[in-house]
Amino acid sequence: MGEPEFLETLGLMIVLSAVLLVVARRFAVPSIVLFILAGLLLGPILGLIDLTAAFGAHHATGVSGAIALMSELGIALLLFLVGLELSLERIKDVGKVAAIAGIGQVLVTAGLGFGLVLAFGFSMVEAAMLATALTFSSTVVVVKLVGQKKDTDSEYGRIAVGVLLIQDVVVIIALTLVAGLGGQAEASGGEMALDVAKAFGGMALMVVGSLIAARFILPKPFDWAARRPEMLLMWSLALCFGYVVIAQSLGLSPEIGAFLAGMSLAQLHCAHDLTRRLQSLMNFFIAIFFVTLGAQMQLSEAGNQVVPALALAAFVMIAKPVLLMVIITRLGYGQETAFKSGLTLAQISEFSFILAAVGMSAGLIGEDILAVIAIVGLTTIVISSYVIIHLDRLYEWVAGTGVLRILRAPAPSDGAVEEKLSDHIIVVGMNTLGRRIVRGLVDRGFDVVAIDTDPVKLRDLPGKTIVGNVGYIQVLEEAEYESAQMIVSALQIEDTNNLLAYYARQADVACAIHGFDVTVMDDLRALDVAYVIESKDVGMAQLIERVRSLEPLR
Amino acid sequence: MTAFTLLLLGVAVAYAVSTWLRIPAPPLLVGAGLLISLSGALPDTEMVSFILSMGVTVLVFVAGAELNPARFAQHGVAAVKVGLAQFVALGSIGFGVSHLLGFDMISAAYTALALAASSTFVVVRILKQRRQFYEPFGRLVLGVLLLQDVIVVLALAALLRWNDGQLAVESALFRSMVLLLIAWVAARTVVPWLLTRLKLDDEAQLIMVLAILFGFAGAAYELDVPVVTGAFCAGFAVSSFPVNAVIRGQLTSLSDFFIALFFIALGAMIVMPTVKTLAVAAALITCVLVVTPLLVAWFAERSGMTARSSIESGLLLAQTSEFSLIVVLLGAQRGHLPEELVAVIALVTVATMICTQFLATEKNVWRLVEIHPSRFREQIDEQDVEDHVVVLGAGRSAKELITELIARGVEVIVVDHDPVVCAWAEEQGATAVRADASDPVILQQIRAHHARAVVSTLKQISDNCRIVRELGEVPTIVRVYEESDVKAIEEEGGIAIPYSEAAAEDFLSWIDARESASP
Repeated sequence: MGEPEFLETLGLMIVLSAVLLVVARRFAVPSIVLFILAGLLLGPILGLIDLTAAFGAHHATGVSGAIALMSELGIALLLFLVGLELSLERIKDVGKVAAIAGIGQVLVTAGLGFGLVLAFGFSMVEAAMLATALTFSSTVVVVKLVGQKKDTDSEYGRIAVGVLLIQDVVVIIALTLVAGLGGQAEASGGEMALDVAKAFGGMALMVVGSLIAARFILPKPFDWAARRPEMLLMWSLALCFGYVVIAQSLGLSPEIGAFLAGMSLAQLHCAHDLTRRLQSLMNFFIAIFFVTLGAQMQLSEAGNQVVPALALAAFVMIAKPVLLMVIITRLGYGQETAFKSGLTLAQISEFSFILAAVGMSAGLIGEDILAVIAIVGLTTIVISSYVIIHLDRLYEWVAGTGVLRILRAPAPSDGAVEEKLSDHIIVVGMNTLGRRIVRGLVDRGFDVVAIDTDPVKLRDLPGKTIVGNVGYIQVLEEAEYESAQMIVSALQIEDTNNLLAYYARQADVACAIHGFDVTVMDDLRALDVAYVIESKDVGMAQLIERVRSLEPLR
Repeated sequence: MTAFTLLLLGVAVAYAVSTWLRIPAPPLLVGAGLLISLSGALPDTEMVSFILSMGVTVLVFVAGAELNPARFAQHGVAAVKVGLAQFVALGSIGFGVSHLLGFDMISAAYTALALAASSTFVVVRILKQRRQFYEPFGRLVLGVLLLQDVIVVLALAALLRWNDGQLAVESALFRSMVLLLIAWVAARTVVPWLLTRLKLDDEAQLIMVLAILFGFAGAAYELDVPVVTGAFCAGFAVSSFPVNAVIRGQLTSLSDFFIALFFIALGAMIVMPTVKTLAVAAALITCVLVVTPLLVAWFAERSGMTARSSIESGLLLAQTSEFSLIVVLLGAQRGHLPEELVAVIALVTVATMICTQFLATEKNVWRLVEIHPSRFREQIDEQDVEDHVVVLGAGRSAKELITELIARGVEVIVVDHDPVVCAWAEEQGATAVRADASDPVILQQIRAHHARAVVSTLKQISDNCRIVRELGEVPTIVRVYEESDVKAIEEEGGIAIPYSEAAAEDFLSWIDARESASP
């Protein structure tokens, strides 16, 4: 079409990311590191794309504006998904610890950071800006990686998300103050206090409003919309971005809006399926976000600032986790939870860049400070990505050394260990054939997992059931297909059956597929299906029996 | 963000209305877009055009990804005949009508191209909904669509170069074909390696699919052919099994999202139609709705399809394509055709897409079959039999039944649409009637009311219920799959053979054998 530049920019971002993903796939590099690297290569290093105008600027136009919009969509979708996973009950538990740890961490880190920056010889204003920028952890990085590990709903995951949300509110206040401090000298303390009060008022309004909507307004329409997957998808997106726009107009961050939107749908039946459907959309937009993040780094001044920047990065990665560990254990959590939530939050945020950009345009700081924040950001985000991905192994190693005993954490209460399925049979497609097979297998004492897209068809079946479309590999993963003894499909959908046979062969699991028509048999046999259920032939045999027994034919 | 959210809200409302009134969503989305832009609430037209360009790319990509050549390999010749016939006839009509109405040659050529192809998007959706993908006519229709899409992609590249002389046109054609060839090679080499061998996780796989899309779009840009050609080639490159099936889950939401936005953004971009536009559009709509079914049905029947399948194919293909919109949008951008023609084609596409949903129904197919001048009927009239056994829709699985009945000395009449089955049945000594067994007239012509028994293996439960009801006292044995259908048949007085139960028993006994073999 007429926008080759837009497609070209987007294309370069995606293609380079894909190349890096292939090249680096053996080294277990977190994907976000690769995306940021792709951005760095395209932007500051090779100069192929120019997105310096795209980030944090709400009024960017043209290609930068479109890319910035896509980044925002990514962030909103990410937070929407977290909201979907964490219903109100789940997040209420960690409210207290999140508030205390969040605010405590912000205050102490800001204080210590301020002193440290002053010691490097920066001015008071610069020190204040830097110290503020250091205190926030990255919602996007943490949520993305913790989600990737499927740990969002773990205790440490919920605490981390809680702390991040508290920080989000603090960010808004910080941004208001910075914007007020610069520019208009006439802005009085009173006006600023009013702005801060507005943000709090907006927050309260938004939370109460979304709770009412979640309880009384949304369930019925969304249950109705769930009968058509693409309609449910578009409705929830409209809701998500509707909340984002409301949040912005109340002076709140889009993240908070999207999170509340997700939370208001969390208790619906379709929430789980919706999460799966949104996942790929989020993955696409959030990749754009990270590439943009890399591409808009301003590193021209970086050479002169390496020493203080690396010192500050080290400070962030050591002081923050230690502080959080101390606070969280004091509140009665075990050392594993404290350790993991502390380390998870050991990086600075993309907000820090926005804050710095706002500070620079307000004339408070120079390009050198921007470069410091860029280096600190890159270092901490990259290192903490690795840390989060390998968190479990790291914990075991550190706990083994006994260092964590100085925290004197209370013994953790035993959580229920989730049972792993194995040697079970997965049956897909709950038509009459599928339901008969499930019943027959359960009668014979097999562990059975029944899957269908329609919750009505799964009702009153014995055994475990999953609502979902097996076209999404996540559904099969949820059914733990790799440890199953067999996958059975009763579906009359050629593509899906072939796909199941393909996955079964990949995982070396036996499979039996409904060969509902003679035209589909060859493909199934070529896919090494263990048993083809030839319903037409078997049925015909029975039909012939019946014809033989007919009175007029005897 | 606000403008974007507004569009999304429009999408949400359009979907609700579409579900409510059972109309396909695209036309409603275009309407919603038009309303939003008329209300003046959409300040940022630049963003709308970005959405449009991204949407077109994804839409064409997804359409291409559905067209796996292996699916219709057996119906290749028929698909070429039918596809070409429809393309040429409707193309000429489009050219003629718009030329008569005073548009210049090149505008008329664009109209011709826009009118000639049917919508992959709509047809694939309907076939999926009705589970008719694997039926012979479903495969034929898919073949027709792929052929037409390829022709449109090639012709579009040529048409956009029309004003630059013959050499430019030929070279654009050549370069498009090169890209198609690259896609064909990639589909067999690099693409399966990237998407299945590498075992990437979900996220990496999605980025990879999009990288293939943008890679082809970039190649198209370098080769100086339209970006949509690249997108189509990329779709074609991922269309073969197992790649197409593996990526479907990743792609569904993304394509739903961008396609919905494409249609609403399209609505927001078009100008309000004038009376003249409406008149031209009405003329073209009539042509598409009348000519396509007749033509396709005629050619499909010449290619060995039954009356019913031919008519159903014809009705299914009677609409213009998403490509039509792209063709005129690109043409208008190059200044080759007036804006009003864009509105005309948009109207034609929207209207014919809506009509397809209402025209291509089971009922309408029967209405048309009844007035269909079939040659087979006259032969059948002479059947004068009694105490015979009728087998409706023999298929391949009923062979044993037929041989056994004949061995017992029973007179058997087989009704089937497959010429091979009919020939086989005649050989065995049965009377074969090559016709559609679900045709209501057939029962009388083979004197089914005087038969000893009737066996039906027809698919549609509605057909079976009707047959059982009509035959009354004659014992009628019907094949059924679902529990609820067993009840329906028995309530009408028929004998239901529950295939699903039999198949489940068969599977379970295999399981038992397997268990006892390996304790």
